[in-house]
Amino acid sequence: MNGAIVVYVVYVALAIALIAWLGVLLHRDGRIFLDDVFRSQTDLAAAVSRLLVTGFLVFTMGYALLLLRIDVGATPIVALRTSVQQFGVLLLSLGAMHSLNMLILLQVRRRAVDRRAAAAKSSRADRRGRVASR
Amino acid sequence: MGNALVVSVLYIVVAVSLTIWLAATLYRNGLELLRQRDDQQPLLAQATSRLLVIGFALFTLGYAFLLLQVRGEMTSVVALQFLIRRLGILLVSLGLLHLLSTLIFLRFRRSRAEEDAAEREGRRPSRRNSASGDEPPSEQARLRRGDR
Repeated sequence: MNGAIVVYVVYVALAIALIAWLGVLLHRDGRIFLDDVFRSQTDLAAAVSRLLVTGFLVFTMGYALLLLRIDVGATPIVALRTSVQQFGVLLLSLGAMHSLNMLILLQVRRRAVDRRAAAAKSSRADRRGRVASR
Repeated sequence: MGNALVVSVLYIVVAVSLTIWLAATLYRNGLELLRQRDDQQPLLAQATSRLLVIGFALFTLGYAFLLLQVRGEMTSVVALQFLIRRLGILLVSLGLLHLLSTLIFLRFRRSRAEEDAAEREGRRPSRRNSASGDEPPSEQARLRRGDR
């Protein structure tokens, strides 16, 4: 029983470490994207980034807990095997979610850049129109 | 003390502190989001943020309490499994709800920005007229310039 418990505790510790690391990465690098989106209004980008990362952290922790199946009667070997399997599932889904996050960030930035280009074009046209009317 | 009671108390403590933390994060960062650079109504951003966050917190707490359905006594192992499962469900749904609230805040922000832009667009002709005359700029335009 004790061996199995140790295995589960290790699983939880590893999951927390992994999730915290991903959260830090997402916050640090996502903010650079968002900085560009919000035209370097740094406070704003930091606020959005913090909100997104908080949601990500809470969701992922819950997912990791849901994956955890505790079977106290198991021998350490069996517990290890199932825990490794669960960890594999966790890693796969975290990887998928991280990629999804990346895609969303890229998409958001692309849209902002497009919008900015359109706005610049229309303001240039506006200025030209005003000059012509004089 | 029975296991069911211990599990309930632990769960409620986690749920309440999590709700408070999430609500505080949402309020602080949401306020940052709603505040515009040339804001004429800082109180509006505060009120909007507070109202949204209170809705979020109430919903979250209610959901958390509804989720906790303890039935009878359990052995300690079953109690542990029960606690982990309930916390997992709670965290996943709160995470999703938090992301949803973030989206709502961003939507609010965009609609406010559009309103501002429309207002500016509407004011432009009058500003052009007043450039030739000597009439002073309107109160709002002056405030806006002063804020920058």
